Amino acid sequence: MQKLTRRQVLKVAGGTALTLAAGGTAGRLLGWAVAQEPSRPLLPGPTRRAVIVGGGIGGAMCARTLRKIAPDVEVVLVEQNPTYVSGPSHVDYVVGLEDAKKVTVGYEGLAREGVKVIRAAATGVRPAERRVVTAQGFVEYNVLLLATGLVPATHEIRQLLENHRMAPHAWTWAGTVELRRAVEAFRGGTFVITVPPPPYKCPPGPYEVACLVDEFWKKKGVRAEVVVLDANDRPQPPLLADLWRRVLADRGIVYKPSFKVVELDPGTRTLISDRGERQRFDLASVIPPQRAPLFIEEAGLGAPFVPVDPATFRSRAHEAVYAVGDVAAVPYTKSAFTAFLQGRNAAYSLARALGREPGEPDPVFNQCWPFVSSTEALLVEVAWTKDGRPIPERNRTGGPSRDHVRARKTWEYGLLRAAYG
Amino acid sequence: MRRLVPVFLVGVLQGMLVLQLSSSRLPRGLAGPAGELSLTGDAILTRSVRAGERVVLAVRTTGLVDVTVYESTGDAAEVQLFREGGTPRTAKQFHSVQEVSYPLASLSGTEFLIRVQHRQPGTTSVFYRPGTQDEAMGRLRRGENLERNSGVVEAQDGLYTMPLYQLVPGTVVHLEVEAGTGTVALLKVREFLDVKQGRASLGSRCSPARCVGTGSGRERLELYVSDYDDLYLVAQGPVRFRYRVVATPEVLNYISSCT
Repeated sequence: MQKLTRRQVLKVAGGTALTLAAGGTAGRLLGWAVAQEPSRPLLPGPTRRAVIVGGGIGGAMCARTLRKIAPDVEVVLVEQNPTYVSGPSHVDYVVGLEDAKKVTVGYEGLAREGVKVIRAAATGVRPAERRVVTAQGFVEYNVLLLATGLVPATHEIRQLLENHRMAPHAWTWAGTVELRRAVEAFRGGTFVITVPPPPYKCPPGPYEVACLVDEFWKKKGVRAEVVVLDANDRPQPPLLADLWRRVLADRGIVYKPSFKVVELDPGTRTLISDRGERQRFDLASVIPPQRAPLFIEEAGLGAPFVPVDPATFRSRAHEAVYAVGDVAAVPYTKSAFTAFLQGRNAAYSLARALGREPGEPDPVFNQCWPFVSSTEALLVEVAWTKDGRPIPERNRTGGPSRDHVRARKTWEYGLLRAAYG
Repeated sequence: MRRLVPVFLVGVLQGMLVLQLSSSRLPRGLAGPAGELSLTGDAILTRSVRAGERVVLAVRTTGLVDVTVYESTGDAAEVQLFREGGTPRTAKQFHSVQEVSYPLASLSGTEFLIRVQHRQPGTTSVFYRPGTQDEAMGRLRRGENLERNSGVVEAQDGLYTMPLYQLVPGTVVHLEVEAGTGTVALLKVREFLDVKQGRASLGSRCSPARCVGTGSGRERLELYVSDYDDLYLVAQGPVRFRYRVVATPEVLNYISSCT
């Protein structure tokens, strides 16, 4: 039997979903499905419209900034979820350090400020027609911002898709909730967390989870061996590598670099590396490699990410298309903070493309306070010039400190307020 | 007096090289011209790299060597393991090579250990080409390509495998057969595992765009890497081939420092 590729599988699934949603009458009458693109416009034709696909921190910040600096621009946000749960808080939530309500926001604030929010999943982009396609219909744009984030490529680890409940991870909200339940129910043994090859969202995240669950179980008296299997040859980001090694060693957490997990054997509860090494587990958290949504590649906007000018975020392939955050091919760290600032800066570019002169935003930089325990966090700061060149003299790191935890929380709540109102 | 100055400088240079060799295990090398070390036996060399430096290690032999590059993390047990012939998990290994070139680079300053082991006797030269990460980035920004690592491999009968390092989107892998009747392929992880674990033959995974040698009908290829997927060199010998991993300016979209 011929093997189906990932693309073929997704096309069939996507086509089926489109058909079911759009529902060709003839197809329904005949009892078979015909994949067809919705022909219904969701909004009247645009005059000065910016469409933003993805309501994460980058997309939301872009929408809000654009409303402020160019009030006459029609801003449309296409987002499939009713709420957004702050990405950085996924790791704290795993051990109950954070209340989900405090870090969950809706889109009402943006709507109040004049952003038109369309709750729909984008399934395609047609750059030639300046059109975003959703299951419900299409939206036309004058300029488009892609802020979709990355999706876990679970299928790239053999047998993970079929056994994902055995190895939940905090890189989606559903996975975060599942991992928390598993961590709370854990009665001892070996816990293994894996780190994928770059790029992945929130580079320090896996080590934070390892430290936090280790502390959580120690406090509960659960005897657990915590193991980190890292596809990289050092902890991430590289600036924090030495600090992470020290922190993990101090806590007795086993760190295995250059261990790229390629298979999960559910029968023996074992993870297998590309070198054939095996690691047994009682509970695992396997973070899969991460990719841009397939429709971006299919739109000819770039694969695996959207190549953009790091100063303006404009696509190198289509002048009316822009991209920020995880989905963009930019030299900036894939973190919530850079996505937020990229969203802000992209708003200036969109406004300029629509004939406004909004001035110049500051360049992107990154600050991050990764948890090493419930009371202490590290610090890392990185800065870039306007055109994306790193400024090494502005690199800064800091060891475990209570101040960093306070700074992190203040920063995160502030970020949500700034992006969502 | 003026004539003595160059003699003095050469003496200082040779003294430094001898000092470098003195930290080697089984040091049976001589300092050649222009800072080149000449080895006839196995050796472990050390090289300190300052923050921001990018020193390119170049090894060339008339025989056949295995080169292992290990970046010290300050873990004494790992260093000891390396010195005793073991291979820490993070070490980069280049088996059965006649030439290899690999950058030693660090963001914060560190020490690299390089082990050279002879599979076939010969004279082996080791050379360090100085440079910085900023210079490398500057070349890319000027629109130039930049070789990141390369080698000439001689694969004997049987299956030869080696991961390719430093692949990011915008990289071009050059592969060329120099001699022999074997086949060389660039495989992604699934294909690599299928072949390595005997579930598939190399020939069955040998697509035209990623394969050179007898099994493919072509002698050289250039593969543009557009994603982050790992690639493995997999050869069915006997075959001698050259590979080069070359960054194009496109990688500037994906990296913030060049190693």
